Amino acid sequence: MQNTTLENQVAVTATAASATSAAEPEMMTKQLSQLQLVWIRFRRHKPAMAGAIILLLMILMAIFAPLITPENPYDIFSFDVTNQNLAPSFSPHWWFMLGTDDNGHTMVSQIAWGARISLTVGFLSAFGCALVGVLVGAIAGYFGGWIDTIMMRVTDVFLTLPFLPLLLLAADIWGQGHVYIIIIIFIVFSWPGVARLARASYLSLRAQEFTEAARSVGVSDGRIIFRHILPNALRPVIVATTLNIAAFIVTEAAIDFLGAGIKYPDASWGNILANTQVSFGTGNWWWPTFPGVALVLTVLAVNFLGDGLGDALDVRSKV
Amino acid sequence: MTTYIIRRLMQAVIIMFGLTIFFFLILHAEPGGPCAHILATPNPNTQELYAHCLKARGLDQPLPVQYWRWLSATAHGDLDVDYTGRPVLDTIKLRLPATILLIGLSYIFQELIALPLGMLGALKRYSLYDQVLTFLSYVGLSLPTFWLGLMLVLLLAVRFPLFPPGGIVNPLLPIPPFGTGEYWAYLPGHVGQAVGDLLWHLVLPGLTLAIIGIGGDSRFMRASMLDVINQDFVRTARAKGLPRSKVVLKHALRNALLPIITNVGLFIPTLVSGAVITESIFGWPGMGKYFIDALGNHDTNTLQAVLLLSALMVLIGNLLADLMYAWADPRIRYN
Repeated sequence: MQNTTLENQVAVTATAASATSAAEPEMMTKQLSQLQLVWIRFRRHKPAMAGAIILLLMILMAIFAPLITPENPYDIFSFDVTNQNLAPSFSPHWWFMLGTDDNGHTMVSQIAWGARISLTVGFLSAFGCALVGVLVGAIAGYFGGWIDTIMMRVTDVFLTLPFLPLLLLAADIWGQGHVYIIIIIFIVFSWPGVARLARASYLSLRAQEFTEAARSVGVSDGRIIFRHILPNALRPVIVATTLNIAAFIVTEAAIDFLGAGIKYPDASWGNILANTQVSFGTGNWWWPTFPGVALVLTVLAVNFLGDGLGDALDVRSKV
Repeated sequence: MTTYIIRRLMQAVIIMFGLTIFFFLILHAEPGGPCAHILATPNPNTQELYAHCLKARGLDQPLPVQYWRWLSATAHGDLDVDYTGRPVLDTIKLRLPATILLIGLSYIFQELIALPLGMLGALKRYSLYDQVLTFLSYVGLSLPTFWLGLMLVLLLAVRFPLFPPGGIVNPLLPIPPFGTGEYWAYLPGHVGQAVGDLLWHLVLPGLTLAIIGIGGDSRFMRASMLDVINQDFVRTARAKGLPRSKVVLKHALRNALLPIITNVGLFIPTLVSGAVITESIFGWPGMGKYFIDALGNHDTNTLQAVLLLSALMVLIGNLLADLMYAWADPRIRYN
């Protein structure tokens, strides 16, 4: 790690000779900002780009669900018995291409509406987790001493808790059907992991010369933590957060599947899959398959994205 | 080393203590409990009966008193009764073998496949094999257990009825329920039938767990192997003329396996608390399903017991993981 907060690289472009002076062409250097460098490195990672595009499509689908789907499957009056259990086909309308379930709702609309809650929970929980985790980890790592010890003991206790059983319990007690409470529960149980990462980064970075330099000039502690060290400490946190998004989407679907989280008429992808064991008898294979495919695709996309981000943010790579 | 173990054990005791308080409080917040069913059936004497029930179970005492009584009872091995009146400890003894069987066997199978795959991926880095493997591992990692279980049942039990869609024993065969005393008595005389039936039922849930685990562990092994073969001692061994197979299998592999050993230690807690979802889908009568059922019934005694057991296993598992790592790697010394 270099001891500057911004590592600038230089792309050299030659320009034509200026009008006034001698015959030599002037070499102009174009400074690329940190962000541009990250973007260039990211673009090279094909799976990550694919993942980003797929994720974007999913998000757009979720946002525009009311406009693109034929019905809102979670409006309890949109029951349509005439369309029960239709196999996938493009007639009579394009939206039957993924079939219907045994309530007559099309899989297309279920996936699009389910995406809303699934993606919301995934993203908000991961970001909340990152927020709390970085805060705690930064303070623990920077100040050290007893603050650090206490925070690390708390982190250890949290890491000892059996995650899924407790999550189910908490969701059962408090989270029945409320998206935001589930998000809070996820954050409460997962911030220690991120805090550990942030603390490790801060521990190593506070020993670097640039921190010492800032302190010697009289920069306040708070400013050092957030303005100087934080941009450098963020890389493992960003990677972990992206992986957390994927993990939270899956975990939230699992909780809904077990009946402990979001309830009908709200829907997430896990909810849709909850009663699909009925389909084994009716031969309705498209009902459990397609929402799951959407889930797997999204999680894959996020995982690839995280992988690509990790590579792109790696300051040690030689471009 | 002994001082390290003692120190860790003392920390574990303190953490366990804190956890018991946490679990007790969180379960106190859980609606239900042993007297809830009285309130559910209205009757002119409901309030009286409810108060009597609370008194009989000591639930009208202040919280710290309740906590202390519960703690001392648990420490003596008395885990109270569940909502049907059956002792929790008995049910745990019944259910634990099923979970250990499922998770243990699927883990062994998973490691037997993931480790060679990861090793080959590291040796043939960036080859087509490696890229396919990496992609498939990512897919495997991303599969949610419940969906994979559903798909496997759909494909291998419904569409092509090769395996049973759930359960642990075939109800048509005269085999007693798994884990009971009668089962263990029945087993020696009918090994082929009982074991065969068990394995046949084990395939789908085991595959569900194994596929996802292979995805994760093969990548992990690949990364670990890559770290090792890029080190100087490997290059030295090759330079000295050792054949490649010997260098890889005898020198590199042993070192690459060290992080995997710690993983085994971290895996031990899942023997008790893992596979909650898989057991639910396949109706596998293990600890996970027991927990879910207790959740549905708001059976706080059971939930407390299972949570405590899981936390205990996590602490033991972490300690074991550290100890095994210290045992396997002579460079590690804990002071």
